[in-house]
Amino acid sequence: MEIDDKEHTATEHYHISLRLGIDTFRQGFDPATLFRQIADLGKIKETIFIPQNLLLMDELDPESCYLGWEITLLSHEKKEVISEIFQFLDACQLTILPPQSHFSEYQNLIEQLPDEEMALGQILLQTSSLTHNELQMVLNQQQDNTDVGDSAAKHLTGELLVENQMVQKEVVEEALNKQNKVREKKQNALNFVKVDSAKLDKLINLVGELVINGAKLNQITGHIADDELAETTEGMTMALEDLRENALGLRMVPIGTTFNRFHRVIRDTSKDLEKEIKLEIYGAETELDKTVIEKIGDPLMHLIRNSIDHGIEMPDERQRLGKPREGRVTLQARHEAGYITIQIIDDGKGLDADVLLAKGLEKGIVKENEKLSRQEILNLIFSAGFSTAQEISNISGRGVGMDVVRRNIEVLRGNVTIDSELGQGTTITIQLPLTLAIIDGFHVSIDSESYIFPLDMVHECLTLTAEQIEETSVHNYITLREEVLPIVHLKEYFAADNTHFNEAYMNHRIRERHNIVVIEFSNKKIGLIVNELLGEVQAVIKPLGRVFKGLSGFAGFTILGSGLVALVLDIPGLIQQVIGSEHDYFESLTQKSICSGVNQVVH
Amino acid sequence: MNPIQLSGEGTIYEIVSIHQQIHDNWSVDTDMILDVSAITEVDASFIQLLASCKKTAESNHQTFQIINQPETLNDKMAAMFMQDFFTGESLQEEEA
Repeated sequence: MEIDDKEHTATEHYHISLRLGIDTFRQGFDPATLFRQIADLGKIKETIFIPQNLLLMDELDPESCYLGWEITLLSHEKKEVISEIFQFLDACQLTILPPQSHFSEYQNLIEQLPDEEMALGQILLQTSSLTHNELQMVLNQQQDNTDVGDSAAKHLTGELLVENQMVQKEVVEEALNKQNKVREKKQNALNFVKVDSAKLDKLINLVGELVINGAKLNQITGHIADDELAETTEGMTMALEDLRENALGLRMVPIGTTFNRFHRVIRDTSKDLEKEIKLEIYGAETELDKTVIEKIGDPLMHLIRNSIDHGIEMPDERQRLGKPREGRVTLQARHEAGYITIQIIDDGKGLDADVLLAKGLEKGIVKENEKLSRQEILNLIFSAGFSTAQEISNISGRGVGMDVVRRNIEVLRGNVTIDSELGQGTTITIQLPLTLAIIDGFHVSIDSESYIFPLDMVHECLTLTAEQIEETSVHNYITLREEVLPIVHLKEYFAADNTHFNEAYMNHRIRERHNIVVIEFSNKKIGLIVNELLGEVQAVIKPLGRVFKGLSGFAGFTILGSGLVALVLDIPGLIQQVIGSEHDYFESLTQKSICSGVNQVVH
Repeated sequence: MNPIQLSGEGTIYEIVSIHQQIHDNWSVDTDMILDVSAITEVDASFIQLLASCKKTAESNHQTFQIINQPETLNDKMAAMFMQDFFTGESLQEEEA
């Protein structure tokens, strides 16, 4: 065997410790033959004769064998192959210590073993770090110790293997780790029960019905003066809340599984485009409803491919711009007030607002003389048929998909926004509701109609002072603790026909009592004017029927304890809707340019 | 100081006889010098016997010497990586 030993160190050699059996000569074995066979498997680097067992002349039985050697061998062969040379030698003591450099190989082999429960010896045999003879020898030793009742000498297999220098300690430890991992995995598997998600849906629906009936019971109890009934109802309400949270928790899964598959996408796509890109993931443990996770995968895939294709520059270009050659795409998730926020951040070339605007004008998406804020210009990329790409790419298409991305996210009652700095990079933020089923809500009324706000977003409730009411008659904002708080009159906003908002109405509005629910979302605050604040409720969100398809600003409806129907507000959608119609809406109300306040909130 | 003359086949078949020859002729009062010129064949048992002689001589603070070594004996010692034991030199980087 040809071996170049120039680069090898002593730790890369096999160490063979051999003590021949007493009958070796009688059996016709010649140690010289053994050495020739060993040399055939590599290169013998050093051999030391061990005369310790050799008897002096007077005691020597010349036909018996007392010879032994310590051999250093450089070989690429497996331990099992080397041990085969000695397989016919009876009663010899043999230890083959693999090279230190082989440890990593053994480690890999052990890791690659199937996740089946195996004894330590089996693991070591399957990875060739132990021979059958060695294992048998150790098992015999264990048996002998047991037979003589020597409890002190009764060692575990791993200890004996290390003691006898048959296997490196590190390899034994690795094999034991593997054993423990398999056992833990098996134990964990026993802790889980696979349940059809349809059954979970049914359970959550039933919990929803319970919540509705619980609310009804609460209301009835309020009218009956019975302490015992009140106490029982309260106990049941608390148990129902726990039941609801636990039932919803069953559907929550970490978003990490969806995130992790993008590693491969980044690797393959960047290779195709000859770019150097690193993916960083944060918040993979963030949990989200399974239904939402299933539906968010495709939009995320499209956004990431867009970042790779259109965002990150070629390595040479990045170097020229003083950026690291390797581009970075960050995917992060976090919880925020009943919503999950997912961001796709790249440090690429960013979006050029002027180019976007020019393209918008060219495509007819933006009208001549139409004034758009920077945010509105950036949002143009979500318009149907909008693309600034100079060349068609098979990675992310030509921007057509961005419209689909937005629609897919909106179907989930979420929203998507974009922020970009030319030359610095782009951040796309997606906000999605944590669950599509049951929420803690805040019940309000506008005239005689009931509405529900997601409680997580309710920051505070205020009653306007006379000065503030006066202020709202002039502007659509108030000054709250020295901060400008934009406000929206929901009654007026939801009115399909606003022709009755005449002067008489405006005068009446000033005299009317005003309650404001301050909503905080995405680090911005807005005040929504309502008539009555009716307190917290658990709201089972039911989808709106086909008749209401296309009605934005509502997440669905819920049935109150009284049996009345209340609309559940979709705050992010409502805010978006306000942005979309802000000019018409505010101009129709006051004929004054008061959009700046709202712009400040939503941008 | 007469060397001990060994003769015959230096193999497992006659090793008991050769052992006896040494035993009969060896004295603790003189150095142990073995003349192996009349040994016709050698195997590992003969090399072991020589090694035992060396060890015994050293334990008695005697000089041990092999004289008139035939080539086959040298070869066998080399093949068993025992030359260094007999010469006292370390064997490094020796290919089998």
